[in-house]
Amino acid sequence: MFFGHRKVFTLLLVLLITGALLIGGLSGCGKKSEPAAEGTKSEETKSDSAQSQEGQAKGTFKVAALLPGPITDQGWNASAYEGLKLIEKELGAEISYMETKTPGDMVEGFRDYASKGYNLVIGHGFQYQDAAEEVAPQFPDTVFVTIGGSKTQKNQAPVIVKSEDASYIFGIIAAKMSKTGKAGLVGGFDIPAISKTLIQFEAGAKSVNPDFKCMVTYVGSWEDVTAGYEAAIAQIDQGADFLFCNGNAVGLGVIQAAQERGVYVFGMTTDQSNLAPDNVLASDVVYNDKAYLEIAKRVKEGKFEGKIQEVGMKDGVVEVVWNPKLKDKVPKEVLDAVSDIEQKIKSGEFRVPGELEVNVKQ
Amino acid sequence: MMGLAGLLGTFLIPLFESSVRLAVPLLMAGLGETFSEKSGVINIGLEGIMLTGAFASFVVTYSSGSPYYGIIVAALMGGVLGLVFAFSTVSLEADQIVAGTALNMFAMGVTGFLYRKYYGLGGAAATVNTLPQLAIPGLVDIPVLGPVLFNQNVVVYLAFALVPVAAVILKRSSIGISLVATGEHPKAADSVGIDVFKVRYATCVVTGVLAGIGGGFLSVGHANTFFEMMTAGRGFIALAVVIFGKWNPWGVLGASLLFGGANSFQLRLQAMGRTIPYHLVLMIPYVLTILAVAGVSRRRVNAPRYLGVPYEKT
Repeated sequence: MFFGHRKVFTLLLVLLITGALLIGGLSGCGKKSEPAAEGTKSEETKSDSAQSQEGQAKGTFKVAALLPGPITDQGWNASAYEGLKLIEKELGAEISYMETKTPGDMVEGFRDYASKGYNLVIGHGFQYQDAAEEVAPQFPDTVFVTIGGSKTQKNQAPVIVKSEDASYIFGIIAAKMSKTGKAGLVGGFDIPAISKTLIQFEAGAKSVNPDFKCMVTYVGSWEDVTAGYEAAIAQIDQGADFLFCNGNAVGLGVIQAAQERGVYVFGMTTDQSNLAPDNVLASDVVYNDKAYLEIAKRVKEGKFEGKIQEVGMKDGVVEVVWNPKLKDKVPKEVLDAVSDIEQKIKSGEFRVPGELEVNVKQ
Repeated sequence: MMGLAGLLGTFLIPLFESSVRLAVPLLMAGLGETFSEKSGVINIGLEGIMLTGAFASFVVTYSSGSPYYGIIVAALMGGVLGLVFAFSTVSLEADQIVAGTALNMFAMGVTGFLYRKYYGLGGAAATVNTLPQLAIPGLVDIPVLGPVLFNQNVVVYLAFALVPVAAVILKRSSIGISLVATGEHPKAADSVGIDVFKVRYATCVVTGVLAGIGGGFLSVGHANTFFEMMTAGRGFIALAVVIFGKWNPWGVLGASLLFGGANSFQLRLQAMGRTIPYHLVLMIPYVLTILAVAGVSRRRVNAPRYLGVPYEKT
């Protein structure tokens, strides 16, 4: 009886752990090669990809991305996926992506793709730059690009998306429309890619009204929706009547708070006006797909250079998208001021300071 | 006096309201865990059960439109996971820590996978109706505490009502005495006719149900959506809450409010000004956790003697 128990237990445990790993691997940290247009992730597509890699002609342009989170986050990681799909469509490239969490995973991810002959491997975040720096010298034929960061070498460079172009404009809108003279800004983590957008929001607001007050809260998470909600409620309690969040799913809670308390909020990364049609005034839409396509074109055409690649409103990568339902309620003077500054940014007459120019607090 | 009234209205009352919201998931999971730990089973799979509850209630609320159905299904799913946990740790005598870890990994993988498959790609995050606030007539008009305690949703009332109920069951009922005996000395309990297996099965299911409801509160009571890993470590903080609360329902209540309050306080502190580095205030809940685990567990105050030890009937 005793022995029987142990045997059954061992078997069950092995099954449980295998099952958990398998499912966790498929959805969490596994690699998803997607040569087909379909987005389904299963064992089948994985093996299809393996076969097609062997069977394909040497000349196929191959692009891969390493992502810090799930492609379903409605924000940062979803945009990377769209970028890959655009590269696949426009350049006929073979695409693949992988979720990586730890520095070890990142190094292995870069090495894995580079050794399979990928022409371009994109690390979707500044945190990939050290791993890229380590791997790049070993694979001179592969270009390593990180979205954000500062490190460059012959075959490595960061793409800097100037999402602060839009958040600077949000600051102007908030300062012109706020009744309390206060805005609440919520960030996921205090890292350059996030803090620069909050800093430029404040700079934009202060360019209109030097006394405008911005409260800044970092919640220390990308997933904690309720913490975002509570952070925003705290700011509203302190008098904020405009909110802005740059922090993936944390922003969902901030938008919920804005909806509940009836204040305006700005969306981030994608057009989020459908989440709270009466409260999301405008969104900072980042067309990462266009940034992806641009960098892939440069690599494919052999024009890539190992220096920082900035892309922003000027390049059509960043845009302020108004909520169509609320745009009518915005005073004409504000709309004019916004299109005026947009023109100036696009023509190069005015430049919103980027993360390398301002002293971003670390 | 004006200053005090102002402080109450703009700072203390909102702080307390937000602390209660943040405390409820910890309280639900913590009360559940108190039952199973008292009977000798440590379930570190709380995080996974809460995540499953959050996902289940989101799915059901999304498709049925009623957050009440969502909470009920979250409780059921939690109960099922509790049963599975009991089967592996009580009947099969699996290591409780390993089984709990497996449960966490399983829940993270499954909820993430299903969320991506059915709700992830395409357009906006799905939002759902939230549990309505039910004002209790009369009590809600009590100054200061009224709006905080008596204008809440059903899960908040349930969580607070469960504290005295759990305390009475554990301390004053024969069921509670059998339960505590099972955790303190299962062999002795067995010798006086207490079915150790049955008791432990029951507490595991209760833990699952309560943690499931606590998770459901996150997605349909507090937030209005689900996101992968949205529990953000609350299941583990709930484990610390049990230790901090010395395995006593009233202590668990106090510890939950303390942790919820610390979290709420740090968010408000950040909103008030940036003179203090945010990292320091963000640390508060976690430092409390470490202190709780390091300070209290060393002396094992009130810890059930046979916590984590499978019972082998001979």
